[in-house]
Amino acid sequence: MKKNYSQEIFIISILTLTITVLWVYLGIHFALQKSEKPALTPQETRILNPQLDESVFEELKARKI
Amino acid sequence: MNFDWKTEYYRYRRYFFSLGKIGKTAPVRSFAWLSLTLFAIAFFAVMAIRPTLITIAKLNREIKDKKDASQKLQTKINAIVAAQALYARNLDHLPLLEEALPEKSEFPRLAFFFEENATASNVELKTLNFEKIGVSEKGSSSSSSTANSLYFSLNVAGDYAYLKDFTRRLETSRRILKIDSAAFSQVKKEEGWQLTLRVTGQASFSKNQVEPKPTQAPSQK
Repeated sequence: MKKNYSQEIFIISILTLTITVLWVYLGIHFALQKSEKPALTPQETRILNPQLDESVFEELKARKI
Repeated sequence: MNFDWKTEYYRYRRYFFSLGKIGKTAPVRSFAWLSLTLFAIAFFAVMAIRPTLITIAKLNREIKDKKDASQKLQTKINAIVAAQALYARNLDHLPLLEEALPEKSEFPRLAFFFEENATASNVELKTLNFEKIGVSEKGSSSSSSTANSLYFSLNVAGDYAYLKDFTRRLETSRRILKIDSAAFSQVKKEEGWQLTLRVTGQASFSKNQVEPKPTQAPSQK
């Protein structure tokens, strides 16, 4: 029986291309998912609360020294 | 073993000549070019396209992270600007805070405060003791609750109404005082009974004050 090598090579090339596309997709997917290190530390992202109960000063003024 | 190339050549000559004919058939040429194209695409996808796309993805991710960080920092900056404006508006009130919660124990001021109030309330300040300040070492587990307090105890004598007034003055003092206990007792004197009040409490200050030796104010009798 005569073998058709060109068809086998074609199938192998399709498999190679499929695996390559899958590999590229996974590489991009993981590159989008993971972040190597956070841009800011928790100390830097801690937000100062600027609220102040100013009535405390009036209460302190009313108290004697 | 003799290798006669002429004999071998004549034997396999037909295969060499038919190879060219096989390669020239249309299906073989199509499959060959298509396979070559697919291999070339796969090769360049691995060697060039994949690193480029990964770099683009990483840069996109970095841009997104930096935008988030920038937004958070902008929020923090806005909060700091608001706090700065609030601080500037209440700058005149800061001495009040310093009086209410001084940085150091300020026990001389506290002693003066007790004496002054005793005089104002018309009671006699019998004893005044300040206990240890900052006895705990830095970093010890029990430092958070006790290191910022100055313990005191005092005894005053006088009429009940005056003692009550003295207690009220302590409760309404600007310096933050925590009165742990207040106990009345009667002492027999030559001219009769004298009512005394013993008060123990804590005066707060903001910074940890660690001293090698505990400070104890002399008793005033």
